[in-house]
Amino acid sequence: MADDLTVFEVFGRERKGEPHRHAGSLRAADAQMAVVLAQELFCRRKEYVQIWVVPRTAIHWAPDGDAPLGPEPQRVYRIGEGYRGTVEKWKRFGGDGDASRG
Amino acid sequence: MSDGRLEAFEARIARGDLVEADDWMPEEYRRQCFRLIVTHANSELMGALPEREWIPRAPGLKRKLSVLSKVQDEIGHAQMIYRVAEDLARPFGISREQMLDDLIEGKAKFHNVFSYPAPTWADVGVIAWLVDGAALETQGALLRTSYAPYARILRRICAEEAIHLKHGEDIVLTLASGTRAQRAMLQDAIQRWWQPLLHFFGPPDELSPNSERTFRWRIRTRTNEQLRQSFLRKYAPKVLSLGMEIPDPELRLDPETGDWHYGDPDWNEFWRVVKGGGARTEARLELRRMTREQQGWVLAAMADPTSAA
Repeated sequence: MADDLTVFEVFGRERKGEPHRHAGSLRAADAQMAVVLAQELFCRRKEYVQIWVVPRTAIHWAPDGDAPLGPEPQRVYRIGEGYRGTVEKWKRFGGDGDASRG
Repeated sequence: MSDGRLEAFEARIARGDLVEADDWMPEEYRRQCFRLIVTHANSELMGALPEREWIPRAPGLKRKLSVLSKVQDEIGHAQMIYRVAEDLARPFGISREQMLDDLIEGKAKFHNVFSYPAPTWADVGVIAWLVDGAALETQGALLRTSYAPYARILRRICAEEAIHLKHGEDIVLTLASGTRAQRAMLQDAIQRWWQPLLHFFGPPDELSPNSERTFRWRIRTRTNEQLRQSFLRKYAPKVLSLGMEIPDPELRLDPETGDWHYGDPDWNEFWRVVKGGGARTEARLELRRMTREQQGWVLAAMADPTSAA
């Protein structure tokens, strides 16, 4: 009986517009029952405006290590830091150098 | 272990890294985490029982709803913690059903405090205030455990326990500002619970290889005695300020260290209780057995909703 139960991971959205965050996990016979149980377990105090349940087997992940995933830090062209020079460059055109407007 | 995995694991822990359920971990780390976590799950489940006895008898609807929701929370905590324990215990071939069987067969441990009777309404207040207060010390320290799935679920649990503590505090304050009979009832309950509360944290940790590893691996981060002292610093002054007596003639604050000196709390009694000899251990386990048997059909229906016509 219990061996037939599926492990579901539960994700909740705390406010409209926010991403869902992992809340915990539970076992249930099917997704419908998982939604019922997720409300019992994780929504007793109006914590979420929406919840998702996802069978754990549906989750896949990239191999993780100690460092954050992503390209090498010297690939600064992917992040704002790679374009810090715009402040100086704007000055040539009489700009005030405020990078946020550049 | 010559493949370097243990060394790499220990180095990770030493630099403050956290362990996830799918990570490689030494079997001994897994075993120690499992034991700690399943004992906590058992305690949440058994902890609901003394209060459950008071749902029909709570004075007034407001209190009844509070006790009812606390019991619901504790059962919810048990569900979440058994789930964490399940993932840890899979390589050992131990299922949740096995854990629940072990509990009702008296093979598994749970906290000493849930083996004592709660004869009066003041006991309900003292349990919710001081037992939950003690549990919050332990669980608050475990928020920093290296086993991340447990730490995550504890954040939610601690937030709810803090509300239970308020509920208990409210009952105690009401009784303390009540009639002479109410104050006497509160004093009696404190009399009954003080020693079990000191026991709650367990005897001072021996410096065994086991406990040395527990702390090195950051499964636990504070010793039993540190937790007990932290509890005493918070709650002993509060109990005394209510004009209540604490049943320990040796209890006194050391003004230099800030520690509380307490009389020998009879550790033989502690061992007797945690080994299943508490006044209500057998009766409460019997209640668990009965509940499991009588409500088995609910579980069966939930496991196979299509057949539950």
